[in-house]
Amino acid sequence: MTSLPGVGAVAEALINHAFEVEEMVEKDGDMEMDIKILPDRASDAKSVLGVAREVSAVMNLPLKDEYKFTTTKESARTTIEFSAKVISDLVGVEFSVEDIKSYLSRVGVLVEGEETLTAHIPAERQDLNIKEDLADEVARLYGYANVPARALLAPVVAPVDHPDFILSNQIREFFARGGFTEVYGYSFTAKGVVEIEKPLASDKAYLRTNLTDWMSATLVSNIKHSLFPKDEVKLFEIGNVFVSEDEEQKRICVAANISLQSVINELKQEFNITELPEIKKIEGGEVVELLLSSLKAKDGAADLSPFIKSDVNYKPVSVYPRIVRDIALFVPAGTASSEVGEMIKQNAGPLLAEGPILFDEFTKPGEDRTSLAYRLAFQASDRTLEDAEVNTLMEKVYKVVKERGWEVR
Amino acid sequence: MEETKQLGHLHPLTQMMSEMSDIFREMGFRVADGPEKESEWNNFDALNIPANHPARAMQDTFWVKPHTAGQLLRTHTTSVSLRELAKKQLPLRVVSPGRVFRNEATDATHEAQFYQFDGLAIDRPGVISMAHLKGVLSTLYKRLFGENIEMRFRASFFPFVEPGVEVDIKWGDRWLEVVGAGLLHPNVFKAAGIDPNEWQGLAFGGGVDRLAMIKYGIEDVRHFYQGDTRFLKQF
Repeated sequence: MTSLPGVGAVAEALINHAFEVEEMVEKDGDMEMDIKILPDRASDAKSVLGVAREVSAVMNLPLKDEYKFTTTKESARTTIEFSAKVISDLVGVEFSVEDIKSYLSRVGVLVEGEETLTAHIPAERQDLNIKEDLADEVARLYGYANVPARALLAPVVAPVDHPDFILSNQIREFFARGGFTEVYGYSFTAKGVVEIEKPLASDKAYLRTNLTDWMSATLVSNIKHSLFPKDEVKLFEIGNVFVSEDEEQKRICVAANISLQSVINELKQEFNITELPEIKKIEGGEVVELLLSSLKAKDGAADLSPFIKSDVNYKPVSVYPRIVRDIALFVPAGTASSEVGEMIKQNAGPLLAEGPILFDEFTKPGEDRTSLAYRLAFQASDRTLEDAEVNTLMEKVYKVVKERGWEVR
Repeated sequence: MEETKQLGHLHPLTQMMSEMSDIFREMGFRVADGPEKESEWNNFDALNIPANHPARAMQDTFWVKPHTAGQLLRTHTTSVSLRELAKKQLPLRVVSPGRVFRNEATDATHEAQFYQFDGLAIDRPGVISMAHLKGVLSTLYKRLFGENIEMRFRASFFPFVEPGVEVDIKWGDRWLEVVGAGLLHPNVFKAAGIDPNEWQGLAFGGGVDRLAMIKYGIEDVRHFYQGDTRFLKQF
């Protein structure tokens, strides 16, 4: 009797060549595996014996005769005509007739012939019906790790993207250059024309008919968490809306807490819009929504590269409230405000979530000192901060600033 | 004072899909587009997923009322690949980034709407195979995650491909599944009116949100759709 390879090797072989092993748990000195049988193999492999048969096939281990699937010409459920070339062309590896016969014999498939091959499929393997199914068996038993990675033939013609994709990216570049932030909204809403059969919730029972509604609410929520009431919030979205049973439209929506007139004029010029869309007043600002098809694409592709970030140091936004503090100080005239800001930042500690943002700077005529004012926000990711805690942090900043010779006002 | 002309921000998923499109364009793929509300035929039947097929249960579907009209929210952008295939302009190389929908309860790793990136390349037998699939996907993940990224191609099953594989990338000490792929099933060729003995092709599809979460270490998929600039301005 051959002894079974280690449990790790068995699991690895199953994962690569057959089924995912979802979990391995030690139980009574043995290992129990939770194996996800693929849906096309439900009829033959969904049992301990089925898995044992699979382990035998993928690791090329002997199996007792009574457990094997065997086929004869007479007992075969079906036959498949194929050739070694077909299998080689599908997998991308040159297999000989002997290779193919050997791999398929491991799963109980009898192959006959030399040029034109005939595969006799055992009754138990309901999933093997076409030559591609045989290629799948050969490829997985051979192992995808052994299949080489090949490049496609060099393209004959340069690919040209869908016009909506080209235009959408030009619009993205336009707004990102103008300081707007792109948002993605929800397709589901409480009211609409196209209704969902089993919605996740009653307020998600329809598909959106416009982008304005969600955008307006999003503008307000973003204004609420601005550090300064005057902070500019400028948003845009490109997305699909569903205006009737059979009409899906691509729209652009822009919202901001500043006047949109000049940016819309620019958009009109750059994208040849014939009719200027209506700018609506909403709570907190203005919103505009227009059809993508009302814009004309410019020549050439958009350059989004200035907006593709590779050095993101992502920090989750805390759900706990933040504490805002201002600091004002006198520094010798000519001191760079960025140097002062950096000094504050270095000493405010890891709970500093936003800022320091310089919001006031003046030098009185005839004085050799400048007054600077910064705003900071502190926030923890796991709890609500106490005032006293932030006071301590600010004391440390004051101390460092004073040591530097700057005067806290 | 604040700079008067500050640059804005593109959504992290836009960034991810733009990078992926650029990589595929270099390999000769063009970007295709199609509707989010789809027919049952384009989303299921033509992709070798007939009614009562267990794979339909695997993809919890949002059906549009009334169900009898056979309209649904696409569960994958493979529907766009199918639309391109049905134009019968071969050979063909297309990728389809886009919003898809699954009817499942939302949590930190599940959203009812998310983005998928689907791809299809069709050519004559002999010049396109599982080896080419491996080449295309290796190029993608090396470009996205670095030359040294570890990948494994595992045997798997999807109704619209045969052979079928799943691809994992190694991130830290864990294998993370990133794409399902294979050679387009002959039944899909037939549904598009193409002779599967004349043409052969590779197909793949995977989630974009998941890739972005891996790349940036984002802990909750729902952040992508909340419009919070404190999140979005980090990208």
